[in-house]
Amino acid sequence: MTLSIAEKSYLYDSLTASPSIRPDGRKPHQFRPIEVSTDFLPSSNGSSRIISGDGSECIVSVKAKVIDHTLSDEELIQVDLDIAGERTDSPQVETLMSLLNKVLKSGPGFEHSRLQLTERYSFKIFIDILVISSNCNPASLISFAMFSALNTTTLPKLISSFDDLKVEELPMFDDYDLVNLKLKSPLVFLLAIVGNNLIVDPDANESEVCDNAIIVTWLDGKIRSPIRTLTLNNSYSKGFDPTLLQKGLKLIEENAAAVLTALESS
Amino acid sequence: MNSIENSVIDVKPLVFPKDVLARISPDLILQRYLSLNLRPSIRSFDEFRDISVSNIDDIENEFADNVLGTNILKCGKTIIITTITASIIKEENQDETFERYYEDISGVERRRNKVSEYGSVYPVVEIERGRGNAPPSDEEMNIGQKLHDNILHSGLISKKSLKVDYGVRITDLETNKSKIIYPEEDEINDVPILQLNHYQKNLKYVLHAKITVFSRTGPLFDLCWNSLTYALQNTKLPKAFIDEKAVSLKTIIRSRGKTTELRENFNIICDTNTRVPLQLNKENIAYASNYGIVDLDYDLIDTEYEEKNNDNDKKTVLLADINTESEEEYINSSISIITNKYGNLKNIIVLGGTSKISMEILKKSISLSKIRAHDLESKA
Amino acid sequence: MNVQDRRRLLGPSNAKPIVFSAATDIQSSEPKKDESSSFILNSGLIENCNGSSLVEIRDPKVTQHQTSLITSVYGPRATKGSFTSQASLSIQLKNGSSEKYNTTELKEVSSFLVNVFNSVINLSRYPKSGIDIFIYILYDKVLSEESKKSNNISAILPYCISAITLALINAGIEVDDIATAGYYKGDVISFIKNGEEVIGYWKDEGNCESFDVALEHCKTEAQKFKNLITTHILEE
Repeated sequence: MTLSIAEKSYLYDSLTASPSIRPDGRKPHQFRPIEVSTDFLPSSNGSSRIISGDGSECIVSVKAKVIDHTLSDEELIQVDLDIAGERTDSPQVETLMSLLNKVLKSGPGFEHSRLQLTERYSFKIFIDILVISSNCNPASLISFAMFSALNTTTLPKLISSFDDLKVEELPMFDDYDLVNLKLKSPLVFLLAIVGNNLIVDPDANESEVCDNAIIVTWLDGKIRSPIRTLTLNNSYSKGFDPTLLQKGLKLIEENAAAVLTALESS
Repeated sequence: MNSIENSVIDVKPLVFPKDVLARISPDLILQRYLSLNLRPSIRSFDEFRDISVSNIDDIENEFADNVLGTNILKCGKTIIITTITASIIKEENQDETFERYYEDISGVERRRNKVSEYGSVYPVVEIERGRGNAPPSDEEMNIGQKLHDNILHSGLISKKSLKVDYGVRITDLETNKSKIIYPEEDEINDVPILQLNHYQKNLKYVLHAKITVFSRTGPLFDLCWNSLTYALQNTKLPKAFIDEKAVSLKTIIRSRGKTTELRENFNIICDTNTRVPLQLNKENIAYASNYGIVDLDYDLIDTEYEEKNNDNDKKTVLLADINTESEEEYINSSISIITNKYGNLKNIIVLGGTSKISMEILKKSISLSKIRAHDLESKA
Repeated sequence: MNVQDRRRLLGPSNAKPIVFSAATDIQSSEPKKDESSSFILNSGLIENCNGSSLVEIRDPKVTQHQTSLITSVYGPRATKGSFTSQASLSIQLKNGSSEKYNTTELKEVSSFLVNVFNSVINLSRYPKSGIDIFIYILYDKVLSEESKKSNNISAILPYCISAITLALINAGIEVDDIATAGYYKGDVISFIKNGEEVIGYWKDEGNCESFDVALEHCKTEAQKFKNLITTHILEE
């Protein structure tokens, strides 16, 4: 699967050409096709399975628990990540997990207060991610899967009263009725920098030769934190022109909405 | 052809720089130095390295931090950073039964049990040598264990001083202001303290020490010990309280079958604003020092020496504060002493090794330790 | 994964770590705001490694942090296993006196720093070797009340980058340029070549509306660190 030095050099040259020529003929802002199926785990509150064109696959399960939010100020969404074939304490897993937790941190546009049940109790959401196979950095794929899972998550309907500060009462739920959570989580995009060109959603071979890459988070028409640069390989990594950063952020801003519509229609 | 004729084997003496020679032949370089009445570190035989002690002052203002005591000890190139943290443990009510048992026994048995009156510190020693997440080395484990045992047996910390006397936080429903009432403030407040004592459980602080060593150049136990002792001396324990809502909080735990058990939670919270110094048994504060014993071996540096001097007594010297690779590698007879300035010995380890350790040497090392302890104490 | 560590003395397993009450009381006793900033750089203080640095910075204006970092570089040293055409770089951050940052976050920062220094160190010059860098956060204190709440590691990233650069130079490892970074309101941008090339961008807070402003601010900050490092090297 890994390319020889000559092949890499050829690929690098074609990607740096103006306009860049990608091996699979994609446009710079074009994604690979993905296949998403949701709500397939009966015991979870929400779930999704995403398969990318190159065989990368990822499963997300969402579960909820009622907690007393007056006792602790912990985050109401917690992500746990498992990548097949990687130790849970490997740098790759830990880095990605820390990033995803930051992506889902409460902020303007993505308020955790929506998870509040009553004055006293809240839902705490546990998101378990299993990356079954991945050929390149799975951050973007995972965020798409998380989005579809959270978008289809249903939680039990509350039937007890909202105001329970004065009266000690545990929240009561309806036996059958479920409420759609409809939480729109931020999307994460991976953008590779090759020479003076920017390409979105790099595949395994493109990752091998790109100079640098940016992870960008997008929510509701706006770029937001966290944003990181990362190198996808050791041999080609180098610095880049600051203006490329601006260009890249703009590229995402222009094209992210289309991805969102595609995901919502699924 | 010419080259063959002219080839004269030129034997040049090999000259190594000092550092290289210290690696190849630590004994030779050590003996050479010693013959000049000096040591590889250019100290005299009974000279210690100077120790400078400081603590991270800034942390004391940082109340929300869980660090209770700190010390940074610099000795030569070596830097040792010690931080004290704590956790709380609920002791089962053993004390009462123990006290009864304690009255029955006497003599040796009683002395042996004296240890149980004292507490200790759980130290985790980390020596930086660029190994990443490797498991702890033998040295790290040994030093940790030795520190723990010696603190326990020195009687530095009595169990009483680790007891958590916690108060209750009472929230006034009308003003929504909360205040904390501690047991010792009994007479000041008219709050039913009796009620509070009723809930008083046997809670104890457990002290943990994290000792990180940078640039190890020689044996470390005595430096770690001294750093830990300094850190304990500026340790301040927080006052703890329990929220009134949580005072009578009990959860039912169902274990195997139908037996139910009431377990009291101890949701104890530490006060961020008040801290009291850890009460140490001052008379038991002691400092450590180490010594190496070397036989001077003139043969090694002067081949004609034996012919000149036929007497067989080898001169034995005592080196204080072993440091540098050549000393550490070569010296296998050592003395390690923990004492205070009055010679109140807490621990002494003598490793015979190959050299003869005479009474004079022992006496000298103890008197040096006392001087050293006196000096170190002035720095606390 | 509840395995007891028998090799370290960690104390009784049923002991609970102490929990502090939230500092709700108004701590008005801290108005002593001396606005002086200080930068102390030192290198070569650790004996048994190839290069080391001590960076002590107090900056009440920009990052509002007071931080001290001890960095040690081990390598290039031979690695086991098969031949590799270039050195592999590893960076580890360690909490010092206070367990302020959780390990997952530290690992994320570590891999970000690896990414940054992958583009700076001349790795192909050291085949089949490893360069291991360790950063020990001796202390890290937030100076302003507002930023105290968000326990944000991004503010100390520029310090980490400067500390590593200094330690690498001390170790005599070939670097393309002196890499430094600047901080501006949650954005950290790292530069080489006088700000003409970006090698790292990290953002943890807020939206991305004023990127141009952040870029300029970070550039001047990074230049400041670079000047500090060059003067330090020249003084040695």
